[in-house]
Amino acid sequence: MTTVAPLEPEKLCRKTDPAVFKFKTTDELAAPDEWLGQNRAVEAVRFGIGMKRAGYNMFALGPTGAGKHTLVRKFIDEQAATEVFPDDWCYVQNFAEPHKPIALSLPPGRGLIFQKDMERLVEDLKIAIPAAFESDDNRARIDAIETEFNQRSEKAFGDLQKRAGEKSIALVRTPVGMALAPVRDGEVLGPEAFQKLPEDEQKSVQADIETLQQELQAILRDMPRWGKEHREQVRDLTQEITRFAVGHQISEIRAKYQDIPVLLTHLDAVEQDIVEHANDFMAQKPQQPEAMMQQEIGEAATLRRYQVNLLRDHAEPSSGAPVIYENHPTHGNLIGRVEHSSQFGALITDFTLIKPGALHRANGGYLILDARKILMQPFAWEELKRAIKAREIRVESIGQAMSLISTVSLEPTPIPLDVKVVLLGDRSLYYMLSAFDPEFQEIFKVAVDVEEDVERTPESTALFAQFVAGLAKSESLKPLVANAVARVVDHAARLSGDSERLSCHAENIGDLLRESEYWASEAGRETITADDVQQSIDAQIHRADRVRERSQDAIRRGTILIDTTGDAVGQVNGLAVLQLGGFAFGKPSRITASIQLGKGDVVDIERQVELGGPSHSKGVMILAGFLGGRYGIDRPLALKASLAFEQSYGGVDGDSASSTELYAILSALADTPIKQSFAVTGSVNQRGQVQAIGGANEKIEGFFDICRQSKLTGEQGVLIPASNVKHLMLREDVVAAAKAGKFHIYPVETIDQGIEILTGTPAGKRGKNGKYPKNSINGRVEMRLEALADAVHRFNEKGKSENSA
Amino acid sequence: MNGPEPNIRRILVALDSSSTAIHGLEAATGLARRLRAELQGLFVEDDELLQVAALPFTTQVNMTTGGRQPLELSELETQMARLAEAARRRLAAAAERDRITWSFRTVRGRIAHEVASAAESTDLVIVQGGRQGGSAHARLGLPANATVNRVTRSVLILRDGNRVEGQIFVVFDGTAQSEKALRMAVALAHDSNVLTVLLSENTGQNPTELEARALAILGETGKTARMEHFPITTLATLCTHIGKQETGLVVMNAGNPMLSDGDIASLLDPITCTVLLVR
Repeated sequence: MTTVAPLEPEKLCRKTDPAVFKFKTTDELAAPDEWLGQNRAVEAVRFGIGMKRAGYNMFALGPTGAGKHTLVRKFIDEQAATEVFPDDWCYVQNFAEPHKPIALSLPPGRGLIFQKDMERLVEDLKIAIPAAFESDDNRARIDAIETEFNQRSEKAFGDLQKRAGEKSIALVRTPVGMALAPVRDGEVLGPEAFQKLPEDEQKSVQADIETLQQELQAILRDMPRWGKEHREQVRDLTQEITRFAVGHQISEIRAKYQDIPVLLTHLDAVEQDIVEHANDFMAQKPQQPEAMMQQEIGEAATLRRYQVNLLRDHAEPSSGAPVIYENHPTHGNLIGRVEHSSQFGALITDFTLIKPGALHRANGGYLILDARKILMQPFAWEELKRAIKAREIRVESIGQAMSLISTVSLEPTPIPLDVKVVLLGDRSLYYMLSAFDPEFQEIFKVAVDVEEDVERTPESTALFAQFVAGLAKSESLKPLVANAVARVVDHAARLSGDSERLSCHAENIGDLLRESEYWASEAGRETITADDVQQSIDAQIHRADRVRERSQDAIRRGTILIDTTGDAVGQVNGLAVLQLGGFAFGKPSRITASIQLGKGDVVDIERQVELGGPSHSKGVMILAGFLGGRYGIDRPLALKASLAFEQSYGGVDGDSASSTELYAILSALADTPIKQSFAVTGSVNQRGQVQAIGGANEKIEGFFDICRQSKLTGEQGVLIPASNVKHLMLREDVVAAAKAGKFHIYPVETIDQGIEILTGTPAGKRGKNGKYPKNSINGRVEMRLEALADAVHRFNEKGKSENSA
Repeated sequence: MNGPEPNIRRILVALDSSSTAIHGLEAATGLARRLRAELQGLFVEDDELLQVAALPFTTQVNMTTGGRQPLELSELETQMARLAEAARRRLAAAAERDRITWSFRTVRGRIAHEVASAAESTDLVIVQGGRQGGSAHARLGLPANATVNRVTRSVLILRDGNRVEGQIFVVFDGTAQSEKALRMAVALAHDSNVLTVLLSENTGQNPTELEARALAILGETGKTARMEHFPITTLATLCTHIGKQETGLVVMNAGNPMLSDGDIASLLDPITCTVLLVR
């Protein structure tokens, strides 16, 4: 029988000696000039920033709180500061096609000046144009046209009336027009009086009336033409006056922008439009309040077409390229949107209501986005990809993009896009996008893989101390003394679940430091000590361990059956880890096995009732492989073994209990009791080798807590895979119990080692006769299997004879 | 009338079958409300026009289309009745809104005669004057010289969209009638109106005394006004002067020597603003 010794207490937790630090407090330390454990990520960021080709956008992947944003932002900020601020972009009215606003670019800083120039132009013209029309000269010219028009019609009607009068005929107004009637002595002739006239005179009167009516019709036919000529004359004069008033004002603006030809073209269009719409600058104020409000809104709307909608301005071009982090990347917040305003119940819009998105603000620089957030926003991901691939920002609503609405809206000219996009997200998200989105790898070619832990070496420990010092300084925390840093280092190892690695999860370490400072302040200390760090850790656990307490209480009170003393056949204490929120703890579970006649099956009861996951099922099936490989070489396995996690109602997964389950089966087959003072964890392969599992620390501590609840007997302990020893960073009280010989951790490499510890019986090796020793576990198992096989054989023979009879 | 307030208790608004007449009703009710006067609507079915329609050969030329169409007597009577009803409804609605006392009646006869007769029991007559242009030359309808001249009361001839905005010019020559005109102008003026007193020296009064008299009247009413000495001698000069400015209303004494022979057309043709002839 091989003897596996329990682990030395020193192996249970790798402590950092504060003496390795050559400082008293972290105030003496400078922030690290390199990123802790992030060499790969830093190299990737530098490459991603420097690579200017299309598609070399970045995806920073790593767990939440690992410091992806900080890392990426630092390097991008450094680079952006050395770059030139890009051009300003603005939208202006397209006078030819108002629904397609024109995008103009101006050198950085000049967009705002141009916007103000145009605002001033409109304000000046509101005074200059009315003044031009009110000048004596121009009023006289307008009056002359009006008078000429009036006189023209006056004269026509006057002449007609005169000719009618000469023939004793009068023009008579009717409800819809005019008629002609014979007059004698100033009175209209009635029918009787007319009949009394001589026949020749009657005919003459009728003929005269006919002629005059034709002349009247001719005048009425001419009047629209006169009106048109009159309006054209007024329009030409109005345009002439306006052009003069506008000309020198707009020339001043033109002179300022001679170097931007596209702007000069726009100014030409502005001038022409103002000349054609001079009346917009001369609105009369109505007296009715409602009409006044309507007119003011209308006036503001008409004069808005000369404004400049500046999408992004930059008063200080020297401050470098823009770096934008969009925290709420909706479709509209990303590519911009066209807003509408409600006026008297109608929704209207124009180019001034185009609102820029994050892409506009980041254009020419860098845009940082959370991958999960953008994927959760409808159409935002697709629109981002489309914009990056097309290298242009096209502002359109979701409705427009999906062709869901057909109302008239704006189609702003797309703006060329030159931006480096950085997505931040979990690894799972990155791999999922890589697998399922064929465009993803084409657009985000650079993966910035941010490590969450780093190898624990003297150098990295020293760097970690600087990292802690940097965090403390950046958040203006109290300095940490050396032993406090040592405790933080130990906790970082525990967080990584590996005594040979250190977690560099910035959020978790930052939380620990902030909370430690709180406790230091509560204790009235000026520095953070190891006690403060420990109190912070304890408080974190205490805040989160309500469920653990309830679970342990249920075991203590016998509601959940876990034995920590005595022995039992086919029954082992397994260990599971429950992760609730950010807190994980170990929870013992009783695992039992029962044996029946069968066909070599190992039945996973959890699986049968769909409480077991696929990994767990795989582990159980491996057990069948182990049994078959070891005991079923020369005969079929005639057993059926049933396995159950007793009192488990929430489901199990993972194969970390497979060795435990095997011990239960072997105990049941060998009819040899297992000591209940032990708990077991570890997966097993078909060759009987025990393999590493996760959560070793939590599992050990979980069983320790249960044993301590009753009383530590000195017999209790946990069997763990030997390959998990390096992961041990156990609590102080567990280590102390081990030192005192009250609790033991056994590193196990094989099933045989484990079963010997659990039963106190040798596992046994095959002898030269190919048989295991009879009193060994394996020998007993083999004999039991032979007996089962014989029983099955007899049963089958009996069945055959009965059938033939 | 020499008192501080013009005593206008009843206003007659005269309407005929011209399509523009009805548009003056709103202004008339507004005026009645401000003067706290009763408004009487009078729709005259023009006897002369009916006679014209009775002629067997009469046709009319539509002013909108320029086309010729028959002028049937029966149709004309129907149209007149319809216009009268529309006017009555509109007056009722406006009067109800402005909370004024009102009445309305339709008569058939010669317009000048009927209006003059009805005006006898009122203090002010409102007629629609139309704009410059062809309609002003029509022999019948309002305002015709005959109508305005036959009325013995003050006549307000609404024109230019029936608005009274901008300046109010009142011609003041020191006569009792011009004093009444000044008081009427003050009564009609809004706060937004600029009142300008044109001190006419046609009667040979001392300019300083003329201005002092005008200021004294204004002082009684508590209003202020701009005084303007102007050597106005003819209607043409007056029209040219007020035509150059944003004029909303011209108020003058109907007996002013410039209106010799009651030549209202010489006043109305060159200008477009509303005119009040005070009697």
